[in-house]
Amino acid sequence: MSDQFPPNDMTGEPTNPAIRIYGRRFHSGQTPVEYLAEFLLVFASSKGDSATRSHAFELTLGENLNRAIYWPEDRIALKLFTFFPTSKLDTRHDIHQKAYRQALDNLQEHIDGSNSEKDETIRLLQSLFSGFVGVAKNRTWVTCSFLPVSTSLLARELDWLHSKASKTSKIATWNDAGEYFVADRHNFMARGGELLFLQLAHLFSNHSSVIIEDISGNYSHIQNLSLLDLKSQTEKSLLSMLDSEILSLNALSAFIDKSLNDFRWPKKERYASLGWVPISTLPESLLFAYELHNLVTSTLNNLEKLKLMQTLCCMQVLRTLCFIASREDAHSNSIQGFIGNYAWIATNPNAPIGVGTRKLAENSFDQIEAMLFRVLRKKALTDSQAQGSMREAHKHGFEIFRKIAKQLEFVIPFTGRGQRFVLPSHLLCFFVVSLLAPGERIRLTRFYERVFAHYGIALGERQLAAALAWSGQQSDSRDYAVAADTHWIEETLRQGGFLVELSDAVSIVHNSTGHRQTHSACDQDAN
Amino acid sequence: MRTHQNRFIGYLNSLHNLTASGANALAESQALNSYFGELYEPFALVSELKRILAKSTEQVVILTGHAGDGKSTVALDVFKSIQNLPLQQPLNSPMLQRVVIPTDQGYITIVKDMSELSSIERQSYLKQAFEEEGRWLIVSNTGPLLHSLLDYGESQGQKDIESRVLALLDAPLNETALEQNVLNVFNKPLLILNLTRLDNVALGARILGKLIAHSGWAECAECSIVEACPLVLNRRALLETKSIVMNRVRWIYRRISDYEQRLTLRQIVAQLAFGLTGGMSCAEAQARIEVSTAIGAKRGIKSLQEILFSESFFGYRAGIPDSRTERLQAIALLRRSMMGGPVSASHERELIQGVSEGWAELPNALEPLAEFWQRISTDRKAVSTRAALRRMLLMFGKMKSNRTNDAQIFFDTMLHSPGLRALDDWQRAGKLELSLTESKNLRKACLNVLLEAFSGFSASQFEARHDNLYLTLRRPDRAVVQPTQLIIGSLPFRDFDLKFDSVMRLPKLIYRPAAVELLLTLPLLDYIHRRAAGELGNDLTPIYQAQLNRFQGELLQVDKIHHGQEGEISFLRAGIDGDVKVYRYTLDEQKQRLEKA
Repeated sequence: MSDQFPPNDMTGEPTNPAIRIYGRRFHSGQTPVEYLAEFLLVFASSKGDSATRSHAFELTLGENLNRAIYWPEDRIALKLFTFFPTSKLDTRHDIHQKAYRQALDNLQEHIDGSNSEKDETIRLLQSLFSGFVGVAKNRTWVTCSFLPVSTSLLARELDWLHSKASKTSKIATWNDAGEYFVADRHNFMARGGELLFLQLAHLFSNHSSVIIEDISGNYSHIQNLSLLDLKSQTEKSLLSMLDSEILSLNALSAFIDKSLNDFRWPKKERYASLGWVPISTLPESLLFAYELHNLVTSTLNNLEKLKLMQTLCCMQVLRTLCFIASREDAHSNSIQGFIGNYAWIATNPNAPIGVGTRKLAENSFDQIEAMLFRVLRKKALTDSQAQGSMREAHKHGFEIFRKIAKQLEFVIPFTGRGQRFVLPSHLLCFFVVSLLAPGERIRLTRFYERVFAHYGIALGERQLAAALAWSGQQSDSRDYAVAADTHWIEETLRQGGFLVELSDAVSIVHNSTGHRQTHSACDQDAN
Repeated sequence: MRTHQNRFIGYLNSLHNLTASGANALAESQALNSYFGELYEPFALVSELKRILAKSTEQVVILTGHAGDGKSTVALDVFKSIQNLPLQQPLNSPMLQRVVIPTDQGYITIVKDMSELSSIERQSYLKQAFEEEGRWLIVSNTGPLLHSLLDYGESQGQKDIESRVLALLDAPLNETALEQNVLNVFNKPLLILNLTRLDNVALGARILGKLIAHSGWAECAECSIVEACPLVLNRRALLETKSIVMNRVRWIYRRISDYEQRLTLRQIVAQLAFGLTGGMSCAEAQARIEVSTAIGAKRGIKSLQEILFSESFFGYRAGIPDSRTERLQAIALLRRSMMGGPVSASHERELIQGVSEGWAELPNALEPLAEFWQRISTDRKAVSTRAALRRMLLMFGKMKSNRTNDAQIFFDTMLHSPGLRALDDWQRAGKLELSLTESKNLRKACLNVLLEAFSGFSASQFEARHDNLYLTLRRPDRAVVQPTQLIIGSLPFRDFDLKFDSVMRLPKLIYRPAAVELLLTLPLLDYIHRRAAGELGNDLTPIYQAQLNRFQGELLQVDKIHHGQEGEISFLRAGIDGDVKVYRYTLDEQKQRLEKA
């Protein structure tokens, strides 16, 4: 049986050690927005040979198992309309300029009113869509990506082969330019989002009963979950977020797209192939699914949800790296209260030099990096199929952790010495909204346990002791006393409106993004 | 006449824990104290609890809260009340850990403090309470209660009650609607009452009234130094302005409670008692007077300035912070609010020229001290004395009828809260006391703040007569400027109402068509007032920003029906002059035409 999902008879294909370990693939060049955009793109696209159901976490695999494919849109016309005016000058080909002018003329024909009104409308639409830019950086217009606010803004990566195109004089029409737009590069939509999608598709295709053995009692909240409900509710909420709640934006994009019918990507085979994920990733996929479900079913507004989902995708990448690495790493001890067998010790972002936990957090970061490094080397030595560039493996299987963690501000400082795990307020608030069901209340101590159970982040005393035991560090009494100070966490949660103090000894954490439990909820109890 | 040691002063000094004699702070000793009866202010909860315990369905009532919230007092009162003992009279002997009272409806068991028992005993009590006949009232600290209750739940196959129990512990406590706090998962209904959710601000002010008017002061009349005694002068000033001081104290407690942290009743009583005596005993007062070289009542002025209520209440002695008082939680919290700074140039001028020139009248008992302070306050360096004078005005100043406006500015600035006084009025009246125009203006101010928070444009950028709350697709990351925003919901201002929530005792903004509510807590209300007055730079703290975001999320949930006519699309767009205009378009998807509406 293949140890990959989707099952792949090319399991023995030689690739670099990072892909052999973590799946196909994580890429350190992928930005957080594009993790989310790609994840949602696969989710929202039709999948399989017969292009079946879209907006679902499932794959329809035909007889040919190697054809795990999906059918993403490219939105090239909308990108031309939105991003061309601000695109990098030296990669604007003549044909693009021509096409852009023509596109505006075409659009004008579909707008009623005087010429000045038409111009005004076009400026308005451009201003609107450019407000949803996800990543532009220094890229040419076609590689810019949108914030994945609606289905109509989800697009695959297309690249423009500018050097090649500028060397030829054969490009006279838009169709001639077609062959210089390519979709197989995966430079930005680099399959990281695909991998996250595949984790969930694999989870929901799984019918084994126990995914996480709850020895510690820290996983009681996910023990009785119905995967079927989790899947259907998440799909339904996401569909509604991306489509039905945002009809006018979808209608406008469709209007532009149809009006610019002449500017499509002139390629017939529009499907994209999917990568694969190791089947051992079920436990972390379940945690991911639970958190995603909490986010999408909350009452936050959709753009807030997207922001948190973006954080979730990045955290899931970090978590997946460590879960898999600790499985590969023979050195890893087991750890009480967490199935991941690793630990991240995080400290107050403002902790001054010399504070015990800051040192612990630095050591913890070093240890995690050492583990990631170790497993890559080990794979390269022990797996005959792990070939290819070690430099690439290093970049996408080791440096990627540091890069994403810094983008999240989960590891500081951005440059310089003393890198350590910290929890800034936006991450703590993210934990409340993603780890507690909307409206749920738990005791603060249980919250610490839950953060530990999902991410291996040690906050409370017991978790810290477990984490220190894992890392083999002696918990000398002075550090222990410092570490027990969780005052900064409580203060941050209070500031966010998530912490309620019941008495001196008991505080509760409340995910207040649920439907308001008015007195009627209590009334139901009374009846 | 000879000097006299008034035992009541000793009692007051035993209520705060700044001196060694803090023994009377506990309910158990209060219950046996003869001074307590007159101070006693019954909890409205007691009669309601008696009624519930007499109901035909047997119930288990659990009473919890902070140490010092009054749990034991309530239990004691229920105990007396069931046995028809007068509530004001002290008990002859302390109440036992567990008492069983036979009544017509059967036995009522009262457990005084479950937290003092071992966990096995606690389980056994809970088992008896739920599974055997009888009604139970159990008092417990919150931590042990939660553990025991969840353990008991687990033994009964109720594993997932944590969130529900915590929701009840977090629920507001309103004596008139206790049924809301019932959990129905065990053999008997379980009523959970968390006294930390009881609003005790008004109760605190009433206790001050009782402390001032207490008959224990009468003993002072027999004392030789009564004319100059600082303790008596302080009390005389308070008595003269009793209702005024009670109001001001209530305002201050409201502010601490809503901005900083709720105080327990014990902390409130400690602060008030300290405010009355400044920690001074009769013997000390007497010694001070004896060494004074002044004549008559003036002999007490120097000592009075150290213990005056408006000083000791805030933790000062004659304008200087008194470090001992940091131990009183209420004072420590009050210090953070920095009350006492200058109000305005004209107020400062009046302060120096003579308090009588200003907006306020002071009680006769304070005139000599006010004159003394004013004389020294003209010195450039007398910052602390001027602050003391301001605090004196804040506590004792009676508004002159022709200077109400100045007085209001003074209060709002001193308390750092423009919405506090109105909120206090509404809470006392139990409704919003606003004229139609005032109500309309406040509603508009609220909605303008929401409009700003949701769209990122300032309310003044909109047309002068705008009357819609627009919900737009605005990025929370603010990574790029969005001068054009797609409107995904547009709610007319007229669909919003201001009402008073009688359970939460707060005003709320209601979106009428769907009953979505935003509670206007004091910090939010203040923010709205400040924005309406054009103040800039006061950012809303994250906690309230999050509240507004949640409100927006809830509005969007119900607003799905409100996306306008089919094919109608609207935008907000800020032009180059900064003015925000609404653009409306009609999109005909069939014919593929876009037209400006």
